[in-house]
Amino acid sequence: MTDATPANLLTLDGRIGSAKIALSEDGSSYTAERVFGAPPARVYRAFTDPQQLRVWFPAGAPEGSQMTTCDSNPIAGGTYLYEMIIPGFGEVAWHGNYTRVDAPNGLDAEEWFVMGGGGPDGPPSTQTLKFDELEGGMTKMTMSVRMPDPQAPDEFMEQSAAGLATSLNAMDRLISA
Amino acid sequence: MVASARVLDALGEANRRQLLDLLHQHGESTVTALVERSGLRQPSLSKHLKVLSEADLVTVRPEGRRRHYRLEPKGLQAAYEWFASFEDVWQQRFDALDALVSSDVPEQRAGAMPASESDTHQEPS
Repeated sequence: MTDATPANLLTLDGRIGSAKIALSEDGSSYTAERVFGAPPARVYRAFTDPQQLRVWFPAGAPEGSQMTTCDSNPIAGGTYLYEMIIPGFGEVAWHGNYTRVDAPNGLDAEEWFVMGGGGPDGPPSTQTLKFDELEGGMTKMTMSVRMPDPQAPDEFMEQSAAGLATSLNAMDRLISA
Repeated sequence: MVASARVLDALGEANRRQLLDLLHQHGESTVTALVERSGLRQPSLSKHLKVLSEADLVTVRPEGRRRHYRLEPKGLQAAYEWFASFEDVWQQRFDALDALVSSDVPEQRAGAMPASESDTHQEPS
């Protein structure tokens, strides 16, 4: 990773409610931390069981959004697919492969975010979820998402800037549509 | 939001990203140096610099007849502040998830399990 990026320039350390989401200095990854009021096994299930995902994953999407597909096969080598239709925007889909599964402690996955139909294309982002048990039957979740690895500085600029712009544009649409 | 959209538009073009990369690698540069390093023609380069400048991604320091350009953190800051709106989505998801998992701990609160919770026994192994 490029550690040459000027310090602080690209740092975001936002705190809203009890979640903390931070963007890495090179802008290529972000980490979210959050405490949930249930033990890891319960939280793990919420993240991997399609019935459970359908309840919470669409939260934050504009009114009228529909989750049309929610498949998840949480075994190593298994896949997941979430598809949503957002009013005034269209189809968005998250295609994923579970690359490591360690229930209920965590999992790794690679993911392609696709807008407007079509299949996964280009390098995936990689995601790591970790669930640590806290006292009182609580769970600390740490979610790390890394954008595709840059191969060269110009590609880095291209991927991080375009990738960020694309996903942020999508997110902006999601929240302001 | 408007400022950030301008930043994202500015970042959405390969030549402009190359110029930012060059300014990142070499620090403050004159237009002449940027023409040499980028391979862009000067009129095209000036247009790109104008877009970058309007998005607060670069600033210019005139010195006599020369114009020196350098990276300006303000624009990137705007882009990253905009990233915070993406945080809202995760925040709302996590709140919904927390409400879901906190509301049904049947082992500890007998009888508190909602009737709709029918999949408690599908624990992944």
